[in-house]
Amino acid sequence: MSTLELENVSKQFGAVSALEPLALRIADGELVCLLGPSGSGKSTLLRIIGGFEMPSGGKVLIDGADVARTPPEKRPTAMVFQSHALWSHMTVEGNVGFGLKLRGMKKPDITAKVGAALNMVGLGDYGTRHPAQLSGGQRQRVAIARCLVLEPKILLMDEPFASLDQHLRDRLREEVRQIQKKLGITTVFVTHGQDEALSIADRIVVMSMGRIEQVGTPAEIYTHPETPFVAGFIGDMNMMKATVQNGAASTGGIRFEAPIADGEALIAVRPEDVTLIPSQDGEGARVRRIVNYGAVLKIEAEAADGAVWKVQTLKDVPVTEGAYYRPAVSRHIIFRDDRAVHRVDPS
Amino acid sequence: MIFLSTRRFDFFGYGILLFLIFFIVLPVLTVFLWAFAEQWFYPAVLPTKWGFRFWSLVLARPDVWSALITSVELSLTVTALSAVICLPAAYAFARMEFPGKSMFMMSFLMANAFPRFALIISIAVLFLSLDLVGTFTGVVIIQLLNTLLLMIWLPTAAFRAVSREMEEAARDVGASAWQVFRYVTLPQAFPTIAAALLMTFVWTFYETEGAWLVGAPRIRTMPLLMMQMINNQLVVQYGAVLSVMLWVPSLAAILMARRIIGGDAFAKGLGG
Ligand SMILES: Nc1ncnc2c1ncn2[C@@H]1O[C@H](COP(=O)(O)OP(=O)(O)O)[C@@H](O)[C@H]1O
Ligand SMILES: [Mg+2]
Repeated sequence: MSTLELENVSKQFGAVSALEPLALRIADGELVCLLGPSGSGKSTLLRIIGGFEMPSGGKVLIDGADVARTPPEKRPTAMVFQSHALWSHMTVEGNVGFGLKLRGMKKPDITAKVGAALNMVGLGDYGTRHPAQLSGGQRQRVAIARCLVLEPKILLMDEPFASLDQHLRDRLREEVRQIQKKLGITTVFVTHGQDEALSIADRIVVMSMGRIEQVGTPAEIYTHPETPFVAGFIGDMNMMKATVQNGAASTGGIRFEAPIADGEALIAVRPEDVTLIPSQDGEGARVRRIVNYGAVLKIEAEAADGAVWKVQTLKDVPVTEGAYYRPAVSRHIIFRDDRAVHRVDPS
Repeated sequence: MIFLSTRRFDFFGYGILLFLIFFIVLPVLTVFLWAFAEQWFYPAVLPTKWGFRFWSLVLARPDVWSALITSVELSLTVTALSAVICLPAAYAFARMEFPGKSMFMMSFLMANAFPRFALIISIAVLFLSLDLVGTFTGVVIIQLLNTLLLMIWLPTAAFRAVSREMEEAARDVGASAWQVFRYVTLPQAFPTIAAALLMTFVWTFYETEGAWLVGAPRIRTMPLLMMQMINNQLVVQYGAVLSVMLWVPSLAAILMARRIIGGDAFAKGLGG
């Protein structure tokens, strides 16, 4: 039963501001992904929670107690590092049991707990090996067992599977999610991969340049991005510059409803929200390119004003390269001054 | 192309092998043979008379035994003191920030950029006024100065090479700063540190310039005794027997190191 709250947490490295003051609440048993491009401050935030960096200001509350000044060895957190950081001079058992040994636990108890933790990550038979004798995926499993055996209140993971191949990454991610759910352990998971975040997170925290852009469930983040950054960073998106006049804006051959004051705006449309309706040559947009992804087709269509629509359709919809179509849009979002100001969503 | 380059590599390898045989194996073999030769006249390929006569002659001399004891005592003392002084310093250099750090590191290099012999002479002059010449302490100090660079630079590099994340992971599971050092940093750096200790021991054991300038005439180490014997009496066998004896400690040290550390790690520590 553990919650994590960040209040006004900020971090400067000398003159560089790595984190602007930010706030975040993570509920008990929740898995939250910190998602953002490289250098956006994800690791810094995670390391502040783990105690490896002191925040320049603010509070880190675990179950209501401020631990911002507590060193990592006294915090109820455990971290899985990107480089696994196993101790190469110890066996797998030695690695997993080290924390228990430091706590003065008796040998038989340590053996039992270590065995259980290794079984949980599927490495029950590997206790006597050294890290050098394991594959990359197995090493990360050991690193996870090393954390779990201590029954931490908060589990922290910094791009734990970034160095593994896609297939293994997907599998380990699923396993982590299952173990996390079973144990109900509050978890903060750093990643720069949107697929990873969308597939395992209860909630996603999108970060950019040391700021939190948006916090929400994967569905909210995907369908209701609040800033152009989030809209562009997660999933494919058509982002069109347009000028609003009298409650409407035209771009790419489409007239969008825009009940806002006149002026510049950004219009965002998901490729799957565009349909192509056959039209006469020279009218609408011309299909430049079709790529077959098996279940779906990804299409690029160029409108008369030069704007290019990215379109995604089911593969049995007939579309021909070089032919003209009229694009129709079912959902769109209008951004102004980096905020979503209007949203059209029939569903 | 590939065929050619592998052949070339082979020639190179054989070249090195020949070089090693000619300049290391042959002389060593000759010295070994001399140590067990009672007679060896010119055209004969092997000694004309074998025996241990010179061994008993050499081992019967009290100055040989006292020199051996002096050398072992000296090397052990210097190695131990060097470890106590240099290892904490090396750790500080590797992991801590303090004013003047880079200047400190530079000064060690600078000291070693001077011609060593001149440096030792000026230290010997200084030691004269401090009454340290001809004392065990004096020789210990000069040997410490000799090994300082090795014992700071190598372990500093070793500590630096220990992954930060490994240390952080140890703190994360509950280790205090001291426990991190004891259970992670030190074991990780150990092969290199052991190699540095071993080199310190062996260097001190075989060093002659400083030992002679500061220690003579009262403190006499094995190599000094050997030089003296070779200079004074032109009996080859004395020198040969002493040479063979002189190999014993370095051989023992290396075997010991291999046992403690394990061959692979040891080679790694020496940069192999
Ligand atoms: N120890 C440090 N010293 C100075 N700057 C740092 C340090 N750690 C991180 N930074 C800076 O803080 C910013 C955020 O870095 P980081 O948290 O590692 O981003 P991310 O994990 O999202 O890639 C970057 O600009 C980085 O250069
Ligand atoms: Mg990072």
